[in-house]
Amino acid sequence: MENKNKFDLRETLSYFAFEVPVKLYRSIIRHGYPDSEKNKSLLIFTNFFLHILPVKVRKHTVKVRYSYCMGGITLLLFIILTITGGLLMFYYVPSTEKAYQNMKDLEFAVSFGVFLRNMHRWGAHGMVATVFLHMCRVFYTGAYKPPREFNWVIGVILLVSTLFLSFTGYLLPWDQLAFWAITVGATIASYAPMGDLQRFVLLGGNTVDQGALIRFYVAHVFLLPLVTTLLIGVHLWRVRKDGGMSGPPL
Amino acid sequence: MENTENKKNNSEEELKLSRRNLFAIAGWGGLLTSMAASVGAALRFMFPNVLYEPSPIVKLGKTSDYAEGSITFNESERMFIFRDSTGFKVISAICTHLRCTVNWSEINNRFECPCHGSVFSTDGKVISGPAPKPLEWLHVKASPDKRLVVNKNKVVDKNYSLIV
Amino acid sequence: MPAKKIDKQDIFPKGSGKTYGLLELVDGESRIASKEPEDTVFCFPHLLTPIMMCTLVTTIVLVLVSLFFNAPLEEIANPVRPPNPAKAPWYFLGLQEMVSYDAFVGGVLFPVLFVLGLMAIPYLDRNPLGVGVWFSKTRPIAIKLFTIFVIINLVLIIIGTFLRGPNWAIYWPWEDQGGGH
Ligand code: HEM
Ligand code: FES
Repeated sequence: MENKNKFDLRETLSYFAFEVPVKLYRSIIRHGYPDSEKNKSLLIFTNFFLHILPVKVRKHTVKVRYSYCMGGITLLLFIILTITGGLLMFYYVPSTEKAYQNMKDLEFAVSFGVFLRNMHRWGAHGMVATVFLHMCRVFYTGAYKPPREFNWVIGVILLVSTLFLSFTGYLLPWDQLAFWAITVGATIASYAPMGDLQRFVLLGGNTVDQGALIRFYVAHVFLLPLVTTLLIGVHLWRVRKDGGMSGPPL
Repeated sequence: MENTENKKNNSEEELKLSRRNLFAIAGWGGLLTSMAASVGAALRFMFPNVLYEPSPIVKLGKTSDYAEGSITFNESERMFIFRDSTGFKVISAICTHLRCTVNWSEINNRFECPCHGSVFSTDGKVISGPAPKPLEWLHVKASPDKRLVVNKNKVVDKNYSLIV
Repeated sequence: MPAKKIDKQDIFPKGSGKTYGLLELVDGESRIASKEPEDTVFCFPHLLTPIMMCTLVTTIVLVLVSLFFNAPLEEIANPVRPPNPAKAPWYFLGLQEMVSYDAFVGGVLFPVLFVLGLMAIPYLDRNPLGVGVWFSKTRPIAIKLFTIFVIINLVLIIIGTFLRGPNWAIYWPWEDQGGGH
């Protein structure tokens, strides 16, 4: 008790050198090495990122040849797209005068700019492909049948929002593809029931110009990612609530 | 005795309930109305009132600049100017399918759209392809300084012509 | 330090001020609990390992592709002249192909019917069999119909990608088709 007030250099140093790192680690990871069943469980459900997974799953779920990880790969690509897209935003200005120049800058004047842009573009192509393959997997394994009917419906909305994300995305460079895709896409909208009103609200006017670019930009970097993120959350939550991934009847 | 007592209680209960119902209806009604109003306002917000768009009425070159029998494509306004022996006719180059710009094919003597292959005759009629309507003939007049003035929003009959 | 004896403190961490822990609310029988314990495995490492492998392989493939192939960037937008042919990325060429027959039918009606039709599948298909198995023989009609749907999509995309050239006319792959993606 009495030496508590006295400063002991050796004791203090050893405290910072040996005890603090352990304490720090223990304050972050609150379980021991996962070789016991208890620690294997704690590893999953005390981790924010892993706790969407159950602690135990059916053996069937682990077979890669059942789901081919297509939903998981779609999710991974979506995460990669969010990160690379967030970085590209630092150099991209949604202006009809600057956008194309920004693309050229990314290619020639920004370190790793071309690489990030490639990741973002090819990742988007990949996501469209995997989301389609995921849907095929779910269909051919009958995984949409009760109790998973509504998760399939959410999936279809995710498919549509993935396609809209791609569409709004490739408009942003304001190159020939972008301009004529907006022109054609917005005119398709005018064939829907309310006619030119839909084209007007998509373009923010009657001509394909700055107003249209900013609308597609906001949709691409804010509205659609927000909706997609929320729906992916609900989608994965429902996979668990519906009893984990589907499999042959027990 | 008991029955009447009960009845009285019941109707009092009903009265209370209906008063409560009234408040519930008012509450829900108010909530839903304000939500609907917010959605309506947000939708209305998406329709701009002021547009900074170029005027649909455009002034082109001098009437004397166009040789007789010529077909001139005006790049910036996306229209073709026909000059024949009697006067001027102007046709929009915007495809009626999905608004690509049609090209004038000298060899085939017709308009061709590169996007989905619509083909139009010299007078704008659809020859083939997905275009649902003929190309639009536009109103044209001469200004006091003898220049062509075209109103892109005013569609005219295909026989309309500015006589000079 | 493997804990042999589990006591209360291990489950409810001391001093967290939390005296309850909700694991799961289940209505009716639990699918997993009703089965022998041997049918289940721990997520760590049995599920986490394949997930990590998938993540690694996908990331490596994407990085390699991005290192060797540049994303397309066409000429700067020219509001006067569309490119000829003007082709969307491959996944929209099916739509572009449909639109080239009719703007309303191909651009609005069919896409809306496709989406609504897909959403309706679980409510139209009343056959409960064949869950959890690839191409189950118990649902031949459903599988055929969906395969037709997939093939229609692929065929439209293939026509749009390989057989369309200038003025959206049919060209064979060995003919010069101009630009595209
Ligand atoms: C952004 C798009 C999507 C993401 C990120 C996503 C993600 C996932 C993930 C991670 C799973 C777990 C099983 C697996 O990996 O296969 C899953 C399951 C499922 N998905 Fe998706 N998905 C998407 C789109 C779709 C689409 C387009 C459909 C169908 C139209 C769909 C329907 C389902 C169904 C019904 C399940 C449960 C399958 C089972 O239990 O076997 N999802 N999804
Ligand atoms: S825009 Fe001319 S044919 Fe489609």
